[in-house]
Amino acid sequence: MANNHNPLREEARVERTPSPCTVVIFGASGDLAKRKLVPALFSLARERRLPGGFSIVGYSRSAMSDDALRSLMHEAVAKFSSSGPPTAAEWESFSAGMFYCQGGYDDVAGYERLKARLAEIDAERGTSGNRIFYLSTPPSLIGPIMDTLGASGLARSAPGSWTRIIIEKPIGYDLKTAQELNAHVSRIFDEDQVYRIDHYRAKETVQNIVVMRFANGIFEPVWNRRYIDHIQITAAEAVGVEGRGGYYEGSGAVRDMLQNHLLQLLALVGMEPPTSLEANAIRDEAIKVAKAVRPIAPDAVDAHAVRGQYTAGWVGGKAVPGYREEEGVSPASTTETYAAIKFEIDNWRWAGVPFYLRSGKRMTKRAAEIAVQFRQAPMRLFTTTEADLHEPNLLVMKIQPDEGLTLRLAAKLPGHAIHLRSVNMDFRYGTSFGARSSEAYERLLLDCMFGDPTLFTRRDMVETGWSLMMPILNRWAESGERHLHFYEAGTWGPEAADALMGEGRAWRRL
Amino acid sequence: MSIVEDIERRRQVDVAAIERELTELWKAAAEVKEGSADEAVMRVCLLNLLVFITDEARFGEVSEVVAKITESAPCRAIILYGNPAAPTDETQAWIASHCHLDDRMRQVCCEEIRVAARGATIRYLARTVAPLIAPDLPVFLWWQDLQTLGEKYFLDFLSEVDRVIMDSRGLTHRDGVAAQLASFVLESRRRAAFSDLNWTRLTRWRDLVAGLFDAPDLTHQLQELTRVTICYANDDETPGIPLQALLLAGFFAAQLGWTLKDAQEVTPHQAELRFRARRRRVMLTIEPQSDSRLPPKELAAVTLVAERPPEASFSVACRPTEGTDWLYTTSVEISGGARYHTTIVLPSLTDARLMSREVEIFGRSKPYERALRMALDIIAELELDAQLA
Repeated sequence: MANNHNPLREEARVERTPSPCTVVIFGASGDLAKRKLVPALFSLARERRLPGGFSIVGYSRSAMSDDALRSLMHEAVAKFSSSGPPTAAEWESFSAGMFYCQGGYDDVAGYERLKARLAEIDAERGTSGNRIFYLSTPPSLIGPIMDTLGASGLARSAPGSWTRIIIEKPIGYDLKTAQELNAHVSRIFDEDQVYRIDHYRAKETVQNIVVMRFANGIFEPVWNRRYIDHIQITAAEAVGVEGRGGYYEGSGAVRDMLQNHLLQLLALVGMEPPTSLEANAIRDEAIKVAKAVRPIAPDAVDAHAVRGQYTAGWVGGKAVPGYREEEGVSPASTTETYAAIKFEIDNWRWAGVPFYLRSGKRMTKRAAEIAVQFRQAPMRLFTTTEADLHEPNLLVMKIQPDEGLTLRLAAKLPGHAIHLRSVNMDFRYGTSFGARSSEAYERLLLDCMFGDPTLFTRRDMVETGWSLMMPILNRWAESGERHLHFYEAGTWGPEAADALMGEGRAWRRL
Repeated sequence: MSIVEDIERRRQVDVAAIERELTELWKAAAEVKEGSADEAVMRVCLLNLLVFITDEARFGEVSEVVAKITESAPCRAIILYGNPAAPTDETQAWIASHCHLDDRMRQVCCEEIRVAARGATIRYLARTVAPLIAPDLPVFLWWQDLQTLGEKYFLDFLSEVDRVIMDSRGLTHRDGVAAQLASFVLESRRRAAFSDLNWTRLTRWRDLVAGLFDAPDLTHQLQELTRVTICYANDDETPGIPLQALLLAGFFAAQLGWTLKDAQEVTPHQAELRFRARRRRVMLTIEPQSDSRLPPKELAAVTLVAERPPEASFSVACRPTEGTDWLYTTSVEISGGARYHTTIVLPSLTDARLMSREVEIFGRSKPYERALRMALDIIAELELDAQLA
């Protein structure tokens, strides 16, 4: 029997649980901890995915007792848990492993108290010195927290145990600050200790892109420039800035969505088959294709990228204000709430196939998808009338809200004559599989406990993403209001974006 | 939220025209929807589920279970009733549909076919059903009658299906059918894989016990175990050691490489099993537990002890809650070291829930077959012990 091999796990329904550990949440009284992190950890416990002895330590500046934290989190879990509110017995069991430690984020004494508390938990609950530090704090605090973790010795693992750190986006504001942050992190932690979260990557349907491409033999032979005309990647939101105008003013659609989430999707759709499912095998292929994306020259930005900003309009049956009228937003703001970019990939598979990425707020509806538009059949054998001009085949991978796959085909209308219509073959997750999908944070927290970084963003991917976006961001920063296209809230974005597509192509109306 | 309804009244159809009638049924459903503001009904099918029963009065009850299963595993369900002793030779069929609302409130529908084979027509039951199976999808056969495993009309199905599901619930080592079932499963060379809902009931026990040893510093304790106790809900009326408990004992022994040395029936409800492991002996006791409030013969607790210092004890116990859920408490206690207790609430194991899990599995289960083989050896030892006594 090999060490750590548990023969009772053979064909178990619940996969192996990770080693006992403690998750330390910096910013424990914040919104992310309450809405996402603790509810996700609770759902994992409920599904028997957490190890016995698993513990949580909340750390923040607020004065609070263990019981006060438990009470705060009980309310949060009851409200936000995707698997429903806890029963008394479940909560008693889960919260018995929940503790609080008060301290400043750069206060060495506070970290010494944290260290002592973690040692107590190791002894009492068998967590063996394994720790995850989750930085659920504003970006400005990442540096001080890492420095103090390093100075207090908490960044290093005792022999036989592990220490990992999870960092939330945004990783930097631009290429320079991202490189500085990554350099800062690497002075204190090794790269294999660092988990940069991109919750989009952990969505069930995003993971299914890899399965769909590489577990189905029918797609790979046509997944190239010979058969594919272009690819559209869309992440549309119906909501506006939702009271976070101040944050969004310093961000915008490119920083918020395209630089990270949509580029990740591009990489998954465009990458070569990995040699294995090992974390770095997949991430190596993803970075290879990202590096093959042709950088947009400063003088070509206007032909390859369009930015927009929503004005007052009508969404979901309600009148909504324009972006410049939102709270915390400058009346002269030039921040883009919509961005569309045309990228090309310089490799044998994709040469000449444009990838169109777009994301925006206050669009017609919430929808995220990848649409692979195939070329028209080489000979239009069946075209007899205008009405028979059917559209070419299309494969749509829907990410939200209607997760699934749609394949558009041409079919004959019933009757003696040959008339064609496009029909859809649909597969919908929610309909075919009754089981609840894991929330992205559940998956990511568990992967981090297992030490599996596949769904986390590696340093080189972050920096490549920024380097592709910098010419666009720089050009727009220089342009002021020039080239900022306004669109009415509730529409599919500015008309100027249509010009990116070129003749014979159009953005999909989702 | 999910509701179940019939789009159309269940109606009797000509057996030979079932497919055509089903097409008509879906057309009618689509037309009804076209006139309304609702979305069209969606017909979904991921697998074929065949259920065999011997009591015609159970059609409705089984149909309800099938409707529950279709919520997580949309399927074409074919419920088969067979009665070879019926005075008339006839086959009848009915069709209906089950619909439920999916997570986005769309109506998802699956079809149900009922076939009743009376008298001599039961001989052709498999042949009647074969054309009704949706092609290219896995076929599961839930055979609810353990007494007919040797019948030709059962054996005929084995070349048509991928997996046969039975249920040995309630059987004890004293039931001849328990050993017969085990031999049948282990010796079958047919295409179909076999499984037992009683084994599926053990799944969460296996998961919970395995989880106790996942921590790297505890995994080695599996090689130090010397005492194991399996408790089951008492059932004074039926003597014998429940097959479910024997399967779990067999699972531990087979997975941990223990060799059976001796098995003794201490009382009609209690057995002691002695195993030899690599460098030690293991005593495994199966005993009843009163006041568990669980269904008779259901597992109530498992304790595994490694006595070599520092002594370590690992346990899982189950009790029902006030509602329909069951509460599981797992604990690890190490003398002089760390300890913890965890409480998990899980829904009680209904047939629908068990079957929903069962239809997710394809192929043979090696741990099940190894556990069953070991259970068969234990039964043989217990019988020998009884004869010698």
